[in-house]
Amino acid sequence: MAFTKWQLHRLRNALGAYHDYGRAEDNKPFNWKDMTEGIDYSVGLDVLKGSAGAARERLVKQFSERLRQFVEGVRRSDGTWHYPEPQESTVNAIHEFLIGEDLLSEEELRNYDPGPQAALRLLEYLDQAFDAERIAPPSTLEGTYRSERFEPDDFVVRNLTLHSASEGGLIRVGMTEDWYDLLTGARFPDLKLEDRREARQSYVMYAGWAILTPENNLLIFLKKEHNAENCYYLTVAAENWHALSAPVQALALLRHHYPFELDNGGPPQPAAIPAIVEFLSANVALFSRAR
Amino acid sequence: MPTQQERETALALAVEELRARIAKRRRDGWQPEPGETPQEQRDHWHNIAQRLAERAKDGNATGDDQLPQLRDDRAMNIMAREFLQAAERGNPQMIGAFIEEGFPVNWQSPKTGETALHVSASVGARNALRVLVGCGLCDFLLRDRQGRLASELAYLYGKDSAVTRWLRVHERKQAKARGIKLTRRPNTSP
Repeated sequence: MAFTKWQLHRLRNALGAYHDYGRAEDNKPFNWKDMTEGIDYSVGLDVLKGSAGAARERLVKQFSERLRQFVEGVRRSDGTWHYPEPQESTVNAIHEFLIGEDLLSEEELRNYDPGPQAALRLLEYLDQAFDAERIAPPSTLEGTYRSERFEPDDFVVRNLTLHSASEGGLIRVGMTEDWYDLLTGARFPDLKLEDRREARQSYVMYAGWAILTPENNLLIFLKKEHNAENCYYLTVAAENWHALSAPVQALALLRHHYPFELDNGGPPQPAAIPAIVEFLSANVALFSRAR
Repeated sequence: MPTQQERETALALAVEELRARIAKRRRDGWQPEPGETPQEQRDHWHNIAQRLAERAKDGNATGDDQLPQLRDDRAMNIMAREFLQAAERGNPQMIGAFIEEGFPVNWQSPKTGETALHVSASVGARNALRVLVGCGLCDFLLRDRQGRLASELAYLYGKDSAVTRWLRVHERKQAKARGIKLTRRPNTSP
Protein backbone atom coordinates (compact mmCIF):
# COMPACT_ATOMS: atom_id res chain seq x y z
CA MET A 1 0.00 0.00 0.00
CA ALA A 2 1.43 3.37 -1.00
CA PHE A 3 1.05 6.21 1.49
CA THR A 4 0.95 9.90 0.68
CA LYS A 5 3.30 12.31 2.48
CA TRP A 6 0.33 13.51 4.51
CA GLN A 7 -0.51 9.97 5.61
CA LEU A 8 3.11 9.22 6.46
CA HIS A 9 3.09 12.29 8.68
CA ARG A 10 0.11 10.90 10.58
CA LEU A 11 1.79 7.51 10.96
CA ARG A 12 4.85 9.28 12.38
CA ASN A 13 2.77 11.26 14.82
CA ALA A 14 0.90 8.22 16.14
CA LEU A 15 4.15 6.29 16.50
CA GLY A 16 5.77 9.23 18.31
CA ALA A 17 2.83 9.51 20.72
CA TYR A 18 3.04 5.79 21.47
CA HIS A 19 6.76 6.19 22.15
CA ASP A 20 6.24 9.21 24.43
CA TYR A 21 3.09 8.18 26.30
CA GLY A 22 3.44 4.42 26.44
CA ARG A 23 4.92 2.64 29.44
CA ALA A 24 6.69 -0.71 29.65
CA GLU A 25 5.79 -3.22 32.39
CA ASP A 26 8.37 -1.66 34.72
CA ASN A 27 6.57 1.69 34.15
CA LYS A 28 9.56 3.10 32.29
CA PRO A 29 8.90 5.00 29.04
CA PHE A 30 9.44 3.07 25.83
CA ASN A 31 12.69 3.54 23.96
CA TRP A 32 13.04 3.03 20.21
CA LYS A 33 14.36 -0.49 20.73
CA ASP A 34 11.17 -1.36 22.65
CA MET A 35 9.18 0.08 19.78
CA THR A 36 11.07 -2.00 17.23
CA GLU A 37 10.57 -5.17 19.26
CA GLY A 38 6.90 -4.28 19.70
CA ILE A 39 6.30 -3.89 15.97
CA ASP A 40 8.23 -7.07 15.17
CA TYR A 41 6.36 -9.04 17.84
CA SER A 42 3.00 -7.70 16.73
CA VAL A 43 3.16 -7.80 12.94
CA GLY A 44 6.69 -8.91 12.00
CA LEU A 45 9.40 -6.86 10.34
CA ASP A 46 10.96 -8.10 7.10
CA VAL A 47 14.35 -6.67 8.03
CA LEU A 48 14.52 -8.84 11.16
CA LYS A 49 13.11 -12.00 9.60
CA GLY A 50 15.27 -15.08 10.18
CA SER A 51 17.91 -13.25 12.24
CA ALA A 52 18.98 -14.40 15.70
CA GLY A 53 21.51 -13.76 18.47
CA ALA A 54 24.09 -11.02 18.05
CA ALA A 55 23.16 -10.47 14.40
CA ARG A 56 19.57 -9.77 15.39
CA GLU A 57 20.71 -7.43 18.18
CA ARG A 58 22.71 -5.45 15.62
CA LEU A 59 19.78 -5.30 13.20
CA VAL A 60 17.39 -4.22 15.96
CA LYS A 61 19.79 -1.44 16.96
CA GLN A 62 20.08 -0.24 13.36
CA PHE A 63 16.33 -0.39 12.78
CA SER A 64 15.59 1.41 16.06
CA GLU A 65 17.69 4.36 14.94
CA ARG A 66 15.98 4.39 11.53
CA LEU A 67 12.60 4.30 13.25
CA ARG A 68 13.60 7.25 15.45
CA GLN A 69 14.74 9.20 12.39
CA PHE A 70 11.49 8.37 10.62
CA VAL A 71 9.51 9.92 13.50
CA GLU A 72 11.79 12.69 14.77
CA GLY A 73 13.55 13.55 11.52
CA VAL A 74 17.16 14.38 10.82
CA ARG A 75 18.41 17.93 11.01
CA ARG A 76 20.16 19.14 7.87
CA SER A 77 23.16 21.48 8.00
CA ASP A 78 20.95 24.41 6.92
CA GLY A 79 18.71 23.89 9.98
CA THR A 80 15.78 22.34 8.13
CA TRP A 81 14.48 18.84 8.91
CA HIS A 82 14.43 15.81 6.69
CA TYR A 83 12.22 12.79 7.42
CA PRO A 84 13.70 9.64 5.86
CA GLU A 85 11.13 7.27 4.44
CA PRO A 86 11.61 3.56 5.17
CA GLN A 87 10.99 0.94 2.52
CA GLU A 88 7.40 0.10 1.66
CA SER A 89 7.26 -3.18 3.61
CA THR A 90 8.39 -1.37 6.78
CA VAL A 91 5.80 1.40 6.37
CA ASN A 92 3.15 -1.27 5.83
CA ALA A 93 4.25 -3.01 9.03
CA ILE A 94 4.11 0.29 10.97
CA HIS A 95 0.65 0.97 9.59
CA GLU A 96 -0.59 -2.53 10.46
CA PHE A 97 0.87 -2.22 13.96
CA LEU A 98 -0.74 1.17 14.65
CA ILE A 99 -4.14 0.08 13.38
CA GLY A 100 -3.95 -3.32 15.08
CA GLU A 101 -3.02 -1.82 18.43
CA ASP A 102 -5.79 0.79 18.13
CA LEU A 103 -3.26 3.63 18.10
CA LEU A 104 -4.58 5.12 14.89
CA SER A 105 -7.81 4.75 12.97
CA GLU A 106 -8.17 4.31 9.22
CA GLU A 107 -10.49 7.32 9.34
CA GLU A 108 -7.61 9.53 10.49
CA LEU A 109 -5.70 8.54 7.37
CA ARG A 110 -8.45 9.88 5.14
CA ASN A 111 -7.92 13.59 4.57
CA TYR A 112 -11.05 15.73 4.79
CA ASP A 113 -11.49 16.91 1.23
CA PRO A 114 -14.93 18.29 0.37
CA GLY A 115 -14.26 17.88 -3.36
CA PRO A 116 -15.12 20.31 -6.15
CA GLN A 117 -18.87 19.53 -6.42
CA ALA A 118 -20.05 22.46 -4.26
CA ALA A 119 -17.93 24.93 -6.21
CA LEU A 120 -19.12 23.58 -9.54
CA ARG A 121 -22.75 23.83 -8.44
CA LEU A 122 -22.15 27.45 -7.45
CA LEU A 123 -20.70 28.13 -10.91
CA GLU A 124 -23.71 26.48 -12.46
CA TYR A 125 -26.02 28.70 -10.41
CA LEU A 126 -24.10 31.83 -11.42
CA ASP A 127 -24.31 31.01 -15.14
CA GLN A 128 -26.82 33.13 -17.03
CA ALA A 129 -29.52 31.59 -19.17
CA PHE A 130 -28.35 33.46 -22.29
CA ASP A 131 -24.72 32.29 -21.97
CA ALA A 132 -23.90 29.90 -24.78
CA GLU A 133 -20.95 28.63 -22.79
CA ARG A 134 -19.22 29.40 -19.52
CA ILE A 135 -16.27 31.75 -19.90
CA ALA A 136 -13.33 30.13 -18.14
CA PRO A 137 -11.06 32.20 -15.90
CA PRO A 138 -8.16 33.52 -18.03
CA SER A 139 -4.80 31.84 -17.60
CA THR A 140 -3.32 35.29 -16.96
CA LEU A 141 -4.74 35.03 -13.42
CA GLU A 142 -2.51 32.07 -12.55
CA GLY A 143 0.40 32.73 -10.24
CA THR A 144 1.37 33.88 -6.75
CA TYR A 145 0.34 37.25 -5.36
CA ARG A 146 1.77 38.86 -2.27
CA SER A 147 0.36 41.31 0.25
CA GLU A 148 2.36 42.92 3.07
CA ARG A 149 0.46 44.93 5.63
CA PHE A 150 0.49 46.33 9.12
CA GLU A 151 -2.32 45.24 11.43
CA PRO A 152 -2.85 47.09 14.75
CA ASP A 153 -0.56 44.71 16.69
CA ASP A 154 1.35 42.75 14.04
CA PHE A 155 2.76 42.74 10.52
CA VAL A 156 1.56 40.09 8.07
CA VAL A 157 2.79 38.80 4.74
CA ARG A 158 0.26 36.82 2.70
CA ASN A 159 1.17 34.72 -0.33
CA LEU A 160 -1.85 33.74 -2.37
CA THR A 161 -1.38 31.16 -5.13
CA LEU A 162 -3.98 30.68 -7.87
CA HIS A 163 -3.45 27.48 -9.83
CA SER A 164 -4.62 26.98 -13.39
CA ALA A 165 -8.39 26.69 -13.75
CA SER A 166 -10.03 23.33 -14.43
CA GLU A 167 -12.16 22.84 -17.52
CA GLY A 168 -15.27 23.63 -15.48
CA GLY A 169 -13.76 26.91 -14.30
CA LEU A 170 -12.61 25.94 -10.82
CA ILE A 171 -9.32 27.39 -9.52
CA ARG A 172 -7.43 25.62 -6.72
CA VAL A 173 -6.01 28.12 -4.22
CA GLY A 174 -3.38 27.99 -1.48
CA MET A 175 -2.41 30.77 0.89
CA THR A 176 0.23 31.21 3.59
CA GLU A 177 0.24 33.90 6.23
CA ASP A 178 3.52 34.80 7.94
CA TRP A 179 3.14 36.91 11.06
CA TYR A 180 5.82 39.25 12.45
CA ASP A 181 6.00 41.90 15.15
CA LEU A 182 5.62 45.56 14.20
CA LEU A 183 9.32 46.31 14.57
CA THR A 184 10.25 43.53 12.14
CA GLY A 185 7.55 44.82 9.80
CA ALA A 186 9.13 48.28 9.77
CA ARG A 187 12.51 46.93 8.60
CA PHE A 188 11.10 44.01 6.59
CA PRO A 189 12.37 45.11 3.14
CA ASP A 190 15.95 45.26 4.46
CA LEU A 191 15.91 41.82 6.08
CA LYS A 192 17.51 38.75 4.51
CA LEU A 193 15.42 35.61 4.06
CA GLU A 194 16.99 33.82 7.04
CA ASP A 195 16.48 36.88 9.27
CA ARG A 196 12.83 36.96 8.27
CA ARG A 197 12.47 33.28 9.06
CA GLU A 198 14.14 33.83 12.42
CA ALA A 199 11.86 36.79 13.25
CA ARG A 200 8.64 35.08 12.15
CA GLN A 201 6.12 34.77 14.99
CA SER A 202 3.91 32.17 13.32
CA TYR A 203 2.66 30.89 10.00
CA VAL A 204 -0.85 29.86 9.03
CA MET A 205 -1.68 27.71 5.99
CA TYR A 206 -4.90 27.86 4.03
CA ALA A 207 -6.25 25.82 1.13
CA GLY A 208 -9.40 26.13 -0.92
CA TRP A 209 -10.78 27.18 -4.29
CA ALA A 210 -11.87 30.19 -6.28
CA ILE A 211 -14.33 30.91 -9.06
CA LEU A 212 -14.72 33.83 -11.42
CA THR A 213 -18.32 34.99 -11.71
CA PRO A 214 -19.79 36.29 -15.01
CA GLU A 215 -19.45 39.76 -13.42
CA ASN A 216 -15.66 39.37 -13.26
CA ASN A 217 -15.70 38.91 -9.50
CA LEU A 218 -13.06 36.51 -8.26
CA LEU A 219 -14.51 34.78 -5.17
CA ILE A 220 -12.09 32.84 -3.01
CA PHE A 221 -13.09 30.33 -0.32
CA LEU A 222 -10.33 29.19 2.01
CA LYS A 223 -10.04 26.91 5.03
CA LYS A 224 -7.32 27.04 7.64
CA GLU A 225 -5.47 23.75 7.53
CA HIS A 226 -5.23 23.19 11.27
CA ASN A 227 -8.85 23.82 12.30
CA ALA A 228 -10.85 24.14 9.05
CA GLU A 229 -12.00 27.67 9.96
CA ASN A 230 -13.36 29.47 6.88
CA CYS A 231 -12.20 32.72 5.35
CA TYR A 232 -13.41 34.41 2.16
CA TYR A 233 -12.05 36.93 -0.28
CA LEU A 234 -14.00 38.81 -2.89
CA THR A 235 -12.84 41.21 -5.54
CA VAL A 236 -13.41 44.92 -4.89
CA ALA A 237 -11.56 46.39 -7.89
CA ALA A 238 -10.40 44.84 -11.13
CA GLU A 239 -9.42 45.58 -14.69
CA ASN A 240 -10.93 43.49 -17.50
CA TRP A 241 -8.90 40.33 -16.95
CA HIS A 242 -10.32 38.62 -20.06
CA ALA A 243 -8.88 41.36 -22.28
CA LEU A 244 -5.34 41.09 -20.90
CA SER A 245 -2.65 39.24 -22.78
CA ALA A 246 -0.01 39.76 -20.08
CA PRO A 247 -0.26 38.21 -16.58
CA VAL A 248 -2.54 40.02 -14.13
CA GLN A 249 -0.34 42.23 -11.95
CA ALA A 250 -2.51 42.88 -8.90
CA LEU A 251 -5.69 41.84 -7.11
CA ALA A 252 -7.70 44.15 -4.86
CA LEU A 253 -9.54 41.87 -2.46
CA LEU A 254 -11.80 42.22 0.55
CA ARG A 255 -11.02 39.69 3.25
CA HIS A 256 -13.97 38.47 5.25
CA HIS A 257 -13.77 36.19 8.25
CA TYR A 258 -16.05 37.07 11.18
CA PRO A 259 -18.68 39.81 10.88
CA PHE A 260 -18.04 43.08 12.68
CA GLU A 261 -19.09 42.90 16.35
CA LEU A 262 -21.44 45.71 17.27
CA ASP A 263 -20.82 47.30 20.66
CA ASN A 264 -24.38 47.00 21.95
CA GLY A 265 -24.85 43.43 20.78
CA GLY A 266 -28.20 44.38 19.25
CA PRO A 267 -29.31 44.75 15.62
CA PRO A 268 -27.23 47.10 13.40
CA GLN A 269 -28.35 50.74 13.64
CA PRO A 270 -27.60 53.59 11.18
CA ALA A 271 -25.20 55.07 13.75
CA ALA A 272 -23.02 51.95 13.44
CA ILE A 273 -22.43 52.40 9.68
CA PRO A 274 -19.23 54.50 9.99
CA ALA A 275 -17.65 51.86 12.26
CA ILE A 276 -18.70 49.08 9.85
CA VAL A 277 -17.22 50.98 6.89
CA GLU A 278 -13.98 51.49 8.82
CA PHE A 279 -13.90 47.74 9.60
CA LEU A 280 -14.42 46.89 5.92
CA SER A 281 -11.79 49.30 4.64
CA ALA A 282 -9.26 47.81 7.09
CA ASN A 283 -9.89 44.46 5.42
CA VAL A 284 -9.21 45.56 1.84
CA ALA A 285 -5.83 44.28 0.71
CA LEU A 286 -3.84 44.74 -2.45
CA PHE A 287 -2.07 41.60 -3.61
CA SER A 288 0.74 42.22 -6.11
CA ARG A 289 2.11 39.54 -8.39
CA ALA A 290 5.16 37.86 -6.87
CA ARG A 291 5.60 35.03 -9.40
CA MET B 1 -24.41 33.46 51.03
CA PRO B 2 -24.83 35.51 47.80
CA THR B 3 -27.96 34.91 45.73
CA GLN B 4 -27.82 33.70 42.10
CA GLN B 5 -28.55 37.23 40.91
CA GLU B 6 -25.79 38.69 43.09
CA ARG B 7 -23.33 36.15 41.72
CA GLU B 8 -24.32 37.01 38.13
CA THR B 9 -23.95 40.73 38.82
CA ALA B 10 -20.51 40.19 40.38
CA LEU B 11 -19.41 38.13 37.38
CA ALA B 12 -20.68 40.72 34.89
CA LEU B 13 -18.77 43.39 36.82
CA ALA B 14 -15.62 41.25 36.78
CA VAL B 15 -15.90 40.79 32.99
CA GLU B 16 -16.37 44.54 32.52
CA GLU B 17 -13.30 45.26 34.66
CA LEU B 18 -11.27 42.68 32.76
CA ARG B 19 -12.31 44.30 29.49
CA ALA B 20 -11.25 47.73 30.80
CA ARG B 21 -7.87 46.41 32.00
CA ILE B 22 -7.19 44.77 28.62
CA ALA B 23 -8.21 47.96 26.81
CA LYS B 24 -5.69 49.89 28.93
CA ARG B 25 -2.94 47.38 28.13
CA ARG B 26 -3.77 47.81 24.45
CA ARG B 27 -3.40 51.58 24.75
CA ASP B 28 -0.02 51.01 26.46
CA GLY B 29 1.16 48.80 23.58
CA TRP B 30 0.84 45.64 25.75
CA GLN B 31 3.65 46.82 28.03
CA PRO B 32 5.24 46.07 30.44
CA GLU B 33 6.62 42.69 29.40
CA PRO B 34 7.70 39.95 31.79
CA GLY B 35 11.43 40.01 32.64
CA GLU B 36 14.13 38.88 30.27
CA THR B 37 15.88 36.10 32.16
CA PRO B 38 14.14 32.79 32.95
CA GLN B 39 14.37 33.60 36.69
CA GLU B 40 12.79 37.04 36.20
CA GLN B 41 10.01 35.44 34.16
CA ARG B 42 9.40 32.77 36.79
CA ASP B 43 9.19 35.47 39.51
CA HIS B 44 6.90 37.50 37.30
CA TRP B 45 4.42 34.67 36.73
CA HIS B 46 4.60 33.68 40.39
CA ASN B 47 3.54 37.22 41.34
CA ILE B 48 0.79 37.18 38.73
CA ALA B 49 -0.55 33.87 40.06
CA GLN B 50 -0.68 35.40 43.56
CA ARG B 51 -2.44 38.50 42.28
CA LEU B 52 -5.04 36.42 40.40
CA ALA B 53 -5.60 34.23 43.45
CA GLU B 54 -6.20 37.30 45.63
CA ARG B 55 -8.62 38.68 43.07
CA ALA B 56 -10.48 35.37 43.04
CA LYS B 57 -10.64 35.40 46.86
CA ASP B 58 -12.31 38.80 46.69
CA GLY B 59 -14.94 37.34 44.37
CA ASN B 60 -13.71 39.37 41.42
CA ALA B 61 -12.51 36.65 39.08
CA THR B 62 -12.75 35.75 35.46
CA GLY B 63 -10.29 32.87 35.65
CA ASP B 64 -10.48 29.18 34.79
CA ASP B 65 -12.69 28.42 37.82
CA GLN B 66 -15.45 30.53 36.35
CA LEU B 67 -15.22 29.09 32.81
CA PRO B 68 -18.65 27.38 32.78
CA GLN B 69 -20.38 30.66 33.72
CA LEU B 70 -18.26 32.75 31.37
CA ARG B 71 -18.80 30.71 28.20
CA ASP B 72 -22.08 32.41 27.31
CA ASP B 73 -20.94 35.94 28.06
CA ARG B 74 -20.81 38.02 24.88
CA ALA B 75 -17.95 40.30 26.00
CA MET B 76 -15.91 37.27 27.07
CA ASN B 77 -16.45 35.65 23.68
CA ILE B 78 -15.24 38.77 21.88
CA MET B 79 -12.14 38.90 24.11
CA ALA B 80 -11.63 35.16 23.60
CA ARG B 81 -11.59 35.57 19.85
CA GLU B 82 -8.90 38.22 20.22
CA PHE B 83 -6.93 36.03 22.61
CA LEU B 84 -7.00 33.03 20.27
CA GLN B 85 -6.17 35.32 17.36
CA ALA B 86 -3.11 36.57 19.27
CA ALA B 87 -2.15 32.93 19.84
CA GLU B 88 -2.48 32.27 16.11
CA ARG B 89 -0.45 35.33 15.21
CA GLY B 90 2.13 34.26 17.78
CA ASN B 91 2.08 37.62 19.56
CA PRO B 92 3.72 36.91 22.95
CA GLN B 93 3.20 40.41 24.41
CA MET B 94 -0.51 40.36 23.75
CA ILE B 95 -0.97 36.84 25.09
CA GLY B 96 1.04 37.71 28.20
CA ALA B 97 -1.04 40.84 28.82
CA PHE B 98 -4.35 38.96 28.53
CA ILE B 99 -3.19 36.32 31.01
CA GLU B 100 -1.76 38.89 33.41
CA GLU B 101 -5.04 40.77 33.46
CA GLY B 102 -6.92 37.60 34.34
CA PHE B 103 -8.21 36.22 31.05
CA PRO B 104 -8.69 32.43 31.47
CA VAL B 105 -5.72 30.90 29.67
CA ASN B 106 -7.56 27.59 29.16
CA TRP B 107 -10.50 29.12 27.29
CA GLN B 108 -11.64 26.71 24.56
CA SER B 109 -13.10 27.88 21.28
CA PRO B 110 -16.77 26.82 21.33
CA LYS B 111 -16.47 25.86 17.67
CA THR B 112 -13.22 23.92 17.52
CA GLY B 113 -12.44 23.20 21.17
CA GLU B 114 -8.96 24.63 20.68
CA THR B 115 -7.16 26.47 23.49
CA ALA B 116 -4.48 29.11 22.89
CA LEU B 117 -1.96 26.31 23.44
CA HIS B 118 -3.49 24.26 20.59
CA VAL B 119 -3.54 27.26 18.29
CA SER B 120 0.04 28.40 18.93
CA ALA B 121 1.27 24.81 18.60
CA SER B 122 -0.45 24.51 15.19
CA VAL B 123 1.23 27.56 13.70
CA GLY B 124 4.80 27.13 14.93
CA ALA B 125 4.51 30.09 17.33
CA ARG B 126 7.41 29.24 19.62
CA ASN B 127 7.58 32.60 21.45
CA ALA B 128 3.86 32.54 22.17
CA LEU B 129 4.19 28.96 23.45
CA ARG B 130 6.99 30.04 25.78
CA VAL B 131 4.63 32.55 27.40
CA LEU B 132 1.74 30.07 27.59
CA VAL B 133 3.88 27.33 29.10
CA GLY B 134 5.87 29.79 31.24
CA CYS B 135 2.79 31.26 32.93
CA GLY B 136 2.25 27.91 34.64
CA LEU B 137 -1.54 28.02 34.23
CA CYS B 138 -2.02 25.86 31.13
CA ASP B 139 -3.97 22.64 31.19
CA PHE B 140 -1.93 20.49 28.80
CA LEU B 141 -4.49 17.69 28.86
CA LEU B 142 -7.34 19.62 27.24
CA ARG B 143 -8.35 18.24 23.86
CA ASP B 144 -9.90 19.95 20.86
CA ARG B 145 -13.16 18.77 19.29
CA GLN B 146 -11.23 16.06 17.44
CA GLY B 147 -9.71 14.72 20.66
CA ARG B 148 -6.27 16.12 19.89
CA LEU B 149 -3.75 17.38 22.43
CA ALA B 150 -1.67 20.46 21.62
CA SER B 151 1.44 18.32 21.02
CA GLU B 152 -0.29 16.51 18.16
CA LEU B 153 -1.02 19.79 16.42
CA ALA B 154 2.59 20.90 16.95
CA TYR B 155 3.66 17.80 15.04
CA LEU B 156 1.02 17.69 12.31
CA TYR B 157 0.71 21.39 11.46
CA GLY B 158 3.49 23.22 13.35
CA LYS B 159 5.86 20.57 11.93
CA ASP B 160 8.07 21.10 14.97
CA SER B 161 9.39 17.88 16.53
CA ALA B 162 11.20 19.72 19.34
CA VAL B 163 8.05 21.57 20.44
CA THR B 164 6.10 18.31 20.18
CA ARG B 165 8.50 16.59 22.58
CA TRP B 166 8.52 19.61 24.90
CA LEU B 167 4.72 19.69 25.12
CA ARG B 168 4.57 15.93 25.61
CA VAL B 169 6.91 16.28 28.60
CA HIS B 170 4.44 18.74 30.16
CA GLU B 171 1.48 16.52 29.26
CA ARG B 172 3.15 13.52 30.93
CA LYS B 173 4.00 15.53 34.04
CA GLN B 174 0.45 16.82 34.40
CA ALA B 175 -1.08 13.41 33.72
CA LYS B 176 1.17 11.84 36.34
CA ALA B 177 0.29 14.52 38.89
CA ARG B 178 -3.42 13.88 38.29
CA GLY B 179 -3.04 10.11 38.19
CA ILE B 180 -4.26 9.92 34.58
CA LYS B 181 -3.07 7.37 32.04
CA LEU B 182 -2.13 9.45 29.04
CA THR B 183 -3.12 8.33 25.54
CA ARG B 184 -3.04 10.00 22.13
CA ARG B 185 -6.83 9.84 21.94
CA PRO B 186 -9.21 9.79 24.89
CA ASN B 187 -10.28 6.31 26.03
CA THR B 188 -7.91 4.31 23.88
CA SER B 189 -4.92 2.19 24.69
CA PRO B 190 -1.61 4.13 24.65
